[in-house]
Amino acid sequence: MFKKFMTLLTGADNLAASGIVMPKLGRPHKALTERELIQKESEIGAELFGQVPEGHTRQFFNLDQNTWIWYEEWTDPLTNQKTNTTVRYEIHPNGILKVQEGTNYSFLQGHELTNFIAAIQLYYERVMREVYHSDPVSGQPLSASAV
Amino acid sequence: MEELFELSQELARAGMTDAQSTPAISGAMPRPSQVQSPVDPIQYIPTAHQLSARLVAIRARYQQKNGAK
Repeated sequence: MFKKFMTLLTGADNLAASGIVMPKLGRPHKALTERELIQKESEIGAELFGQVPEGHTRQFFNLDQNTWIWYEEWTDPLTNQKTNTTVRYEIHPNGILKVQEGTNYSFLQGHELTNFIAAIQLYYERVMREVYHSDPVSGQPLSASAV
Repeated sequence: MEELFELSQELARAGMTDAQSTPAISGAMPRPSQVQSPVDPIQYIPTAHQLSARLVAIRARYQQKNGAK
């Protein structure tokens, strides 16, 4: 699912054929590609908004300097069909634009805006510590005892 | 009339007059410090940019350090 999603996002086709292997989490000391790093980050991102409902798959991650992605996939219990939604949050000089297929683009406001900012702050803190083992403030590696 | 006066005196002693209920009502109202002012989206842009840039940078640093493609 993630491969398909990243393919859609980045335009790169057939990741498997290109030799890119998705990571098995928990495998230490392996050099990860950018995609693999983003996948690890997104697993932390998925936890920031509370428990993922049963049968749902959620991804939330930073894609680049100006873009954050929310992806959620679930099976409709009535139709038994898989459904998904992707929301792209773009950082613009005049606000954070929420781009979602099938809806009007809108700048985040009010609680949605403050929640988004709180989420990316938490994401940053946790990803720095748990993925990169670095101090979120200084960016320096955490000491072995702190990891 | 006198009965009404006595009743009002009793209620006052029991703390149930209008005068007593006013603080409770005002307590339910948001205090000035609790009133949310409209959020200015622009104030959050530097934070959002900074966090995103730091993540991109640490990813690049990780790959450079670990020799990932």
